[in-house]
Amino acid sequence: MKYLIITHTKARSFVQSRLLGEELREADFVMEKEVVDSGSNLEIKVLLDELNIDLHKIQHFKQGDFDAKARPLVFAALDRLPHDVKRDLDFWRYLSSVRFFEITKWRHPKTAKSSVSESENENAVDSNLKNYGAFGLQVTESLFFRLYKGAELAYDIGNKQNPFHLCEISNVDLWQSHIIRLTAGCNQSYVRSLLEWVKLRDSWYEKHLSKKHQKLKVIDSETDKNDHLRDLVKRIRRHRSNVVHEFLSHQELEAIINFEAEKSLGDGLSIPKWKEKKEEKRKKKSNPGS
Amino acid sequence: MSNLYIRPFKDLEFFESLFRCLQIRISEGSNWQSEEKLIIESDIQLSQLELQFKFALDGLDQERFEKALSDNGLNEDDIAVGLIMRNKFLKEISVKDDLFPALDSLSVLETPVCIRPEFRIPADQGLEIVVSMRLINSKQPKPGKPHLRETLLSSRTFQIIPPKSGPLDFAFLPLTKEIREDHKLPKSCVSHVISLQSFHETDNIKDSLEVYIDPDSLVVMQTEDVGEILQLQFVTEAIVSGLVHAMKEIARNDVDYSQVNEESILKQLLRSLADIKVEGREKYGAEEIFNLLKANPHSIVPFLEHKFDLKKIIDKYKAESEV
Repeated sequence: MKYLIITHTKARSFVQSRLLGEELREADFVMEKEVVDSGSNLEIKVLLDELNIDLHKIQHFKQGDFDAKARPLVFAALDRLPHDVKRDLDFWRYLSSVRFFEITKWRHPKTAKSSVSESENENAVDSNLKNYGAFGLQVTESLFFRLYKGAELAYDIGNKQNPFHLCEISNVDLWQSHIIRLTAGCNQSYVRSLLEWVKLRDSWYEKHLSKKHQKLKVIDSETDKNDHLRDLVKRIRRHRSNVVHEFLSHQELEAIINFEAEKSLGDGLSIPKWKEKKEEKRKKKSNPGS
Repeated sequence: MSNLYIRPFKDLEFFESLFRCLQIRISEGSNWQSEEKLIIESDIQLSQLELQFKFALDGLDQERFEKALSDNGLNEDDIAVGLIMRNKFLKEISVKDDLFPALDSLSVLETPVCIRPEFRIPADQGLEIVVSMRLINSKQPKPGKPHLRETLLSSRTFQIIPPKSGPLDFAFLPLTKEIREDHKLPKSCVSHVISLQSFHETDNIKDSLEVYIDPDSLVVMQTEDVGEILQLQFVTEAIVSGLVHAMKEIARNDVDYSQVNEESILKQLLRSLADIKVEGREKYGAEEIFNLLKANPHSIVPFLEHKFDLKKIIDKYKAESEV
């Protein structure tokens, strides 16, 4: 079976030039590789063309929701590929930077933050290139690896009706900052426990928010929920330095997440520390002289 | 990287000494070693990994083992040695919770055990191996004693590094004609560093920097006596480059010390430098070094030179060249 790849240095110049609007010949950048004895008759080109059609159909969703819809599609299409292809970092790079360049560009428009970084340091590379797998050697943050891996980690084999139900969570911060970028995000059992908690967090808050906290509006918006999640993940990381989570069962991990989520809310009587700090920072920014 | 946070236990010295005795070898015929970084010489070697582990019980005997257990309120069947293999590139893990047979006596740990990685490791990726001793039964909580199931008593992390990697996991890349032209570099330069992700945002140096070195200098680094000095100079330059980038980002985003991720390269670096003794003053704290770097990232250089033992290496080189 033959498939296409691109190295990270080539991917970088390809993406940088394409983003500047240059027309390029893909053949000058990509290389063909072959898996010997793959035992598969799959035509990768056909499979990727079909995936492209499916992804275009969901491009009317806003970006976090697009990820949620795309995860099962990308997984279903690519999971059939031979292991050697799926283990090739340059194949994932090819998907995000060349084959699906337009989708990656639409999903990750250039941000003001990355432009500033480039202008301040001439040797710096726009961090947005991570989404194309064109930043460094790693591809973990490239769009297509991220979507595939997210679906693989979240796959719920016990749910026959919809094993992808956890993939449907569209919280971008959760997937990128708390799963894909962390070592803990390699552990499927932990990832699933965390996703389950997030999926059901509204009912969790109903049960666990004290009357005082409800009055103080501790969890009053999606931002509050995400700040609470950020503090929860920080606490779990601290817990991980003493307890080896990889050897714990799913139920034990669920219990840790519930316990730490509760602890993160503090005593139930006053504003939790993470919210207090954020308020202070906000005040400081609006009144820099005070 | 281990023990990022202060651990609340006070009687784990024995287990820590025990894990300092842990040895690894990458296949039946290779040498046992204690170093945490194992650089594989060829792709073939990487595909034939047959990892073996044993403890060289240097002065650690059954009596001290039993005392360490009883000091912590434990029995021999409360503990186990397990192993986690991680391929961070593909976010895969493989876990084995009973690496050694039942630990009815310490001597069990002296007999080598063999593990073949469950996943094949592609040539451009490495493998992280964490061997750990854990409490496998829950206990009644007591201050300063481990009680939660799977509490870590001690561990050791090994990095299997694929060919072509250098110290500190820097993948030194050849500074080719193409790179010189692309980056408009002068013809006779020998190094070039590209900053990718900031030191405060990643825990992997490969994600953070690309260090290009002139191919002839790479050969000198690997074959000549002076190579080690040259290599450390390049590493220092690369770290300073990374810090200049990171400190700009930190200033721009108004990030303070407490907000820097504990696992980031920056925090790792600060922690590793915080313990250096300095005459005439107390040791610098990690936050103090952070503030020094904020004012001037180049102020890391003396700390790195000390950490790398550069003076000793130069003295050794001088002594050898005088013979």
